[in-house]
Amino acid sequence: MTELFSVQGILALLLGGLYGAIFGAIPGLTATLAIALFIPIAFFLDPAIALPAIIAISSVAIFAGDVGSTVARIPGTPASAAYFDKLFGLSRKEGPLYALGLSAIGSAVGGIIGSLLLILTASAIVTLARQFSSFEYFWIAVLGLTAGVFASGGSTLKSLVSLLLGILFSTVGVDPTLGFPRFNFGSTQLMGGLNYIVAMIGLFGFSEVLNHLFNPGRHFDVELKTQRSARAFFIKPLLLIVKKKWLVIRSSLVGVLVGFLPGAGADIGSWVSTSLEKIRQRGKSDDVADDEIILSGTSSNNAAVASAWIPALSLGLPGDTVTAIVLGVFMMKGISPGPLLFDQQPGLIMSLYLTFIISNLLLLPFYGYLSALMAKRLIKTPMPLLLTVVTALCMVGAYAINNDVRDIWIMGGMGMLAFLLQRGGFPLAQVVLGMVLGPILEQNFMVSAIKSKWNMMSFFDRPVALILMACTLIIIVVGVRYGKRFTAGSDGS
Amino acid sequence: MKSKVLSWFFLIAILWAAASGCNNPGDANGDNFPTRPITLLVPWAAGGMTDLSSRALAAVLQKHIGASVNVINRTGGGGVIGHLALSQAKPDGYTIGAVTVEITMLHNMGLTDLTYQDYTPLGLVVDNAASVTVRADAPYNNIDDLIQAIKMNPGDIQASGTARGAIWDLARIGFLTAAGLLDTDMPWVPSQGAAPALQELLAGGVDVVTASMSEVDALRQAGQVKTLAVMADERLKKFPNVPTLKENGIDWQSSGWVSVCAPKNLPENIKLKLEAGIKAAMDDEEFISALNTAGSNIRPLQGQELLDFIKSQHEKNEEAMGLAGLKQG
Repeated sequence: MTELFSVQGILALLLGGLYGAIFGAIPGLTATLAIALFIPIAFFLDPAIALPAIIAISSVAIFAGDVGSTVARIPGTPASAAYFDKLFGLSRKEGPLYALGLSAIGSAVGGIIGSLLLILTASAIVTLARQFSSFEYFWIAVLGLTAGVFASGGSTLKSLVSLLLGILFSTVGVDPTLGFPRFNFGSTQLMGGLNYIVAMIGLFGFSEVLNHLFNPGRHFDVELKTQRSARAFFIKPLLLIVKKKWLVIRSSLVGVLVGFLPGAGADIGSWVSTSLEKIRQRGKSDDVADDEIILSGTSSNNAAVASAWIPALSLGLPGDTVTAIVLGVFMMKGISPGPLLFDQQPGLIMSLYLTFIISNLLLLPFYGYLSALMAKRLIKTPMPLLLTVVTALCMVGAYAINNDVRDIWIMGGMGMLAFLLQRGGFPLAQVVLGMVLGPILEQNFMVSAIKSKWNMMSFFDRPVALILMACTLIIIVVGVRYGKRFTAGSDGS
Repeated sequence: MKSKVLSWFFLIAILWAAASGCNNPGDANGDNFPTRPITLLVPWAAGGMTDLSSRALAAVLQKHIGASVNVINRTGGGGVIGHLALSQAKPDGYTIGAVTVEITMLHNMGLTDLTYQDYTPLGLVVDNAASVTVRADAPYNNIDDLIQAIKMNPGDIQASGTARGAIWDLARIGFLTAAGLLDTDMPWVPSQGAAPALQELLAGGVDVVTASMSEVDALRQAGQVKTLAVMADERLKKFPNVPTLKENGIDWQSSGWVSVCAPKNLPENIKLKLEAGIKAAMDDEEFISALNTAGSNIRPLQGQELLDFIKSQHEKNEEAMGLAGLKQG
C-alpha cells in the first residue's frame, strides 16, 4: 500500500502510462506485447511496484489504440478494431480532440465501472465462473459470431461472407485439438496459422495505403472545427456520457462479462458490445449513432481490461493474454493467485484495486489529453508523409508479432485482399471477428463433442448454455426482422 | 541529380550492411566469445512455463557470461516453428534456444523431421513431473480408488491437460499402460493447455487432469483440487506429501522438461563457454529462488548425462505414442 505512494510507485505509474500510450497508438504493437516486453524489468521490481505498472500500461494502451484510428484510420490494438471507422469519421467531422475526448472519457468511465465490479465481486465471482465449461464457451462464440453478422449495418449476406472468410483463415495451421496441420501447403510458416493481429494490420492499415495510391484524388480536407480544446476534450464527452448513462453502463457490463471469460478479454468485449449497439441503433440517423457506438466500444474494452483480472486473482485462470503474463509475474514473485491471495496479501490486493481507480481516473484523461493534442497536429500531416509512416509501421508491427519476416508478406497479402473486398462492398471488420472467434468456436465444439462422445444433445443440457443459445436465437430473429425493415425503409426514401 | 546518386549510395550501403549481418569478422574462432548480445529463442508463448524459466535463466545468464541475453518468442505450429528456427540458426553461439520435451514427440506425429540430433544440448533447466489431479470433492482419495473406478466403468472417467498427443496425454497413456489398462479406459479430452483443462475440471467437464505439479499447485493450495500421485521416481522435495506412482506399484514416470540448446555443429570452445555460463547461472541463488516460487523443479544436467537423458526420453515417448496409435508412418 505505502509502496504505491512512494516516488518509485508514482514514477512507475507515470512511465507505465506513457509506455502504454506509445505501444497502444502504434498499430501492431499491442497491449500484450507491451506487457511481454516489460517482464524482464518487472522481474527486478517489487511486486507492489511492478503489478501497478502493468495495470497502468494495459489500461492506457487499450485506450491509446483509438489514437491510431483517429489519426490514420488504423486501429492501434485489436480492441479498437470494432469501431475504428466510426471514430475516424467523427474526428474528421468534429475534430480529433472531441473524438479522442469521447474515447478517453468513455474508456475512463468504463474502466471505473469494470474496476468497481472487480473490487466488489472478485471473490464472489468464483461460483459463477465455475459454471463455464466448453459448452458455454461454444455458445458464447456462436453468440458473438451471430451478433457480428447483423452488426455491419450493410448487407447481411455480404457480412456473412466476410465472416466465413475470416473463419476459413482461422483454420490454417495446426489443428488446435488433434494436432494435425491443415491448409499449410507444406510450409512450416503456415503451420503456425495466420495471426489475426498480422492480418488486422494488413486489412486495416496497408489497405488504406493502397486505397490512397489508387484513388489519389481522395482527400480528407474537411474543415477542422476549432474549439476550445479543453471543452471539446473533457466537457462535451462528459455531457454526452451523462445523457447516455444507461448506454455506458450497459456496454461496460457487457465488457465486464466478456472480459472475465478466460481467453476472451478486451478485444472481444468491444466487438460484442458495439455489435449489440449497432443492432439497437439500426434506422437511426448516422451522426447520433456514431457517437453512441464509439462510446459503447470504448467503455466496454476498458471495462474488460479490469474484469480480466477477476478470474486471474480469484481462480488463477487468465482472463486474457495480459493477465496470462501477469500470472507469470505472480509466480516469479512467489505469490500464488487464487482465493488464498485475498487472505495472505490483503495489502497487495488493495494497492491493485487502488491502481485501477487511479489509472482510469487520472492517467487515462491525462495521457488521453496529451495524445489528443498530438493527434491534432498529426492530422494535418501531408498525406504522402503519413502514408509512408503508416507503411513503415505496418511492416514493423507485422514483424514484431512473431519476429518473422514472412509475416510482412502475409500482412501485404491481407492488405490487397482488403482493397478488393472494399471495392465489392464487403465489410472488413467481420473478417477479423471470424479470425478471432473461429478458433474459440472450433476448439470448444471439438472438446464438447469429444467429451460427450459426440452426443449433440449435450449442447442443450446445461442451463447457462441454454440461456446463451436463447440469446443467439433472439439476435437472429431481431436481426432478420429489423434488417428487413431497415433495408425497406432506405429503399422507399 | 546529385541527391539521387547519394540515395542510391545509401541504399546499397544499407543493403550491404544488412546482407553481411553486421558480423564481427575479427573473432572467427570464438576466442573472445561473446562480443555481442546473445538471442535466446523460446518456442512457446510468453507467460507459459517454458517462457518463464527461460526468462529467469536469461536474466541471470547475462550476469555470468558477460553479454546481454535477449529472449524472443517464436511460437506456433505446436512448437515446430520455434524449434525449427533454432535448428536453422548459425551455430556461432549467438543464437541459443529453449528446446522442450516436444522435440521427442513432434517427429512421431509427422509434423517435422527435427529430432534432438539437430541440436547441441547445453543444459537441462527444469523437469516437471506430471501429476494425477482430481477435484477436491471427488470420491477417490488415492490412486487405487481411481484405478478401481476406471475398471468398474471403463471409458466413463475422462482426463485432460493438453492437446491430443502432447506431453500430458502421453503421461496419461503411460500411466494407463503401466497400470494394465487400455488407452480407451480413461479417454482424453483435448484442451489448449493446463489452465483451460483445470477450468474444465472445476466445471465438472472432465474428471482427471495430468498436468504438472507446478501447474496444479495454485488450485491445490486453494483447496479446489487434490493430487493423488506424481509421476516421478521419488517424491518431490517441494511436495513431500504427494506419493509417487511407483509407491503404488505402477512403474511409470513422465515429465515436461525445458533444456537450453544451440544449433548442431557448435564449435567446441564456444560450447564450453556457454555450458560454464549456464552452470553458473543455475547455481545462482536468484535463479533458484525464482524457479522455486514458480513451483518448477530445477534439474541441472549437462554433457553426456544430458545427452543420455534426452535420448532415453526420445525412445520412451516414441514407444508411448506408438501404443496410442499417435505415431505416423
